[in-house]
Amino acid sequence: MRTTLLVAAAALATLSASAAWAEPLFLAKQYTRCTPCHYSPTGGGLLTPYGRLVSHRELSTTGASTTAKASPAAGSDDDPHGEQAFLYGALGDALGPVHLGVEMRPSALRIGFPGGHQDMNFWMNVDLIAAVQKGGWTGYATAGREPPNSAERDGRTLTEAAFISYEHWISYETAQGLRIRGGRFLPAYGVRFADHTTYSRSSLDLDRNDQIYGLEVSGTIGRSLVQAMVSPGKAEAILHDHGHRGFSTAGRWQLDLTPRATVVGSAFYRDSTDLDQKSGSAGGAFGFAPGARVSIWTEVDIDMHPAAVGGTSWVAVNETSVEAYRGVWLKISPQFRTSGSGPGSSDLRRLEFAANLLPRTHWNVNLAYYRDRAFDATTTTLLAQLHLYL
Amino acid sequence: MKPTLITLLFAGAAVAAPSWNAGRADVRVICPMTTGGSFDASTSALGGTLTPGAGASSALEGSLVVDLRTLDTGIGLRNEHLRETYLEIDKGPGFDQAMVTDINLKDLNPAAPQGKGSFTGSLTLHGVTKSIAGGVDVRSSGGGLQVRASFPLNLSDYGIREPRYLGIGVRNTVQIEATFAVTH
Repeated sequence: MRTTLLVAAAALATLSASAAWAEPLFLAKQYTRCTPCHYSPTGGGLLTPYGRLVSHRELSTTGASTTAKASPAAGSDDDPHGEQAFLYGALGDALGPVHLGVEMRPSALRIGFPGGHQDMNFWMNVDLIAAVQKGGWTGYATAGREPPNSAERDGRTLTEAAFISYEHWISYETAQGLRIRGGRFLPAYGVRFADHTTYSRSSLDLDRNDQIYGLEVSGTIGRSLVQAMVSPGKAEAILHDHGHRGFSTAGRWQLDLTPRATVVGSAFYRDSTDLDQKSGSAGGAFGFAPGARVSIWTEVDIDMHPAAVGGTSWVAVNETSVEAYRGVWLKISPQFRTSGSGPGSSDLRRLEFAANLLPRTHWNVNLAYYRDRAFDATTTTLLAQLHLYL
Repeated sequence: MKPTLITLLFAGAAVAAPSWNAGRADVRVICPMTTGGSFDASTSALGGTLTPGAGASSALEGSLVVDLRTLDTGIGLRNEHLRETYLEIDKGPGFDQAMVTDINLKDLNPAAPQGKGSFTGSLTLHGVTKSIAGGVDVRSSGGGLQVRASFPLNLSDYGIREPRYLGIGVRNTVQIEATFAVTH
C-alpha cells in the first residue's frame, strides 16, 4: 500500500504544474523549429504574432472560415488586431511593441490506484507573459502563480500558492542567425513535448521548475540548429534552495533532413552540489511527418547517475499524433524507463492516450489518459484540462 | 492540363524517338525561413514536351511548364500569400506558370542520357526570363527515363517581392528540386 501511495503521490506531483506549452506535432505542418511561433528558441510560452495567426487561421477548427482579407496583409510586420490578438485585439496598438499574453490552465485530475482514487481540481497555470522585440533584441518575462503543494523552499514544499516567474530572459540575434540569450529559461535538450510529465522531460529534470539561470548561444548553420548552454544552477535552487545549486551545461544539435523530418542529438551535464552527486544525460530523437496530418517523434536518452543514487537508466518515448479532423489531434505515447541500479527503483512503463481539441483561437482542450506501471502497481490518470492562452 | 510552374529540364537526347513527354512529377520549392528551418511548396503539375536537337547538339527544344496555381505548402494562408502576393498569378498572362526552355545538357551523352550531369536553361517566372543552371540525374525507368534535377533560384532576380509576414520570412534564395518521368 505504501508503494502504491508513493506512486500516486509522484503522479500528483509531476502533474501539478508546468510552464508553457509547445507542440512538436506541428512538424506535420512543416515546422521543424519552435521560433516561427514562439519567442523562446527552446519553445513553449508566448506565441509570436505569426504563431498567434497560425493558431487562429490554420490550427483551430473554426478559424478556417476566416477569409484571408480578415488577416493581416502579406508583408505586415505586426498587427495586434483580430481574434488571434491579445484579448481579441481589444487593446489594438496601445501597447506599442510590447506583446502580452495570459495563460490559464484549469485542470481536473483523477488518479486511480489499487484500492482507491484521488480527485483534484486546480489551476495548473495562471501566468501573465510579456515580450518585446526590436532590432534583433528580445525581452521576455512571465509572472504568475505556482499552485499549492508545488513550490519548494529549502527542501520544504509549500502548501499554499506562491509567486513564480518561470522564465525571464533577454536575447540578441544577429542577421546571420547567431543568438545569445541570458536569464532564466528551460535549457535546450531533446524534444520539448507538450506534456511536461513525459518521461524524457520529467526523468531528466526538464520538467516543471527546471529552468536554469544561464547563458545560451544558438545558431543556424545550413540545415542545422546548434544550441549550447552554461549555468551556475537551476533557477529555483539559486533562489530558494542553495543546497541543490551546481554548475550545469548542455548542448543540442538539430539537423533538418527535410521540412518534415529532423534528427536531434543532446547532452546534459550537471556537476555535484552540496546535496546531489554529479549526473548527466545524452540522447537522440527523430521526428518524421509522413503526411500533413501525422507526426511521429521518438526520443531515446541515457540518464547517468552514480550507482549509489540510481546508476544508469534508459528512457524511451514515442509520441504519434494524428489530426483526425481540423483542430482535433489524437495522440498515443508509449514510454519506458529502466530502473537503473539504485535501491528502491523500478522500471516505469506508461501508455498515454490523449486528444487535443483546438475548437477556436486561444482554446485548447486536452483530454489525456495515462496508464503507469511501477513497483508492480498500476495507476491510471485522467486529465481534463482547458488551456487558455489569451 | 493547365500551364504550370517551375521547371526543369530535359530528357533524352539523340535517342531514336523524336520527343519526350514529361509527367508523373514531384516538384518542390524548398523555402528556407529567416528563423531557421524550411518548408516545401510542392506540386505534381509539371508537363511539356522536349525534342532532342539536330545532330550532335546537346540542346533540347520545347519546354517544361509548371502550374503555379497548384503549389501547396500545406498551410492555407501561406498558399494564398505565395500565389497571390508574391507570385501574383493573376497579374497577367503567363504569371500563373513557370516555364523552362532552351535546355542544354552537359556531361551527358544525348544518345544515351543516363547518369549524372548538369544543365543550363532559361526560366520564365513572374514575367521575367533568366538563365538557370543546376544538376541532373537521369535513370532508366520502365520504358522511359526518371529525371531528377535541381537548381537554386533568387527571388529578387524575378522581381518577386521579399516574402515577409509578421516577423517571419523566406530567404531570397530558394532551391528547386524536381523529379519527373519522361516517356515517348
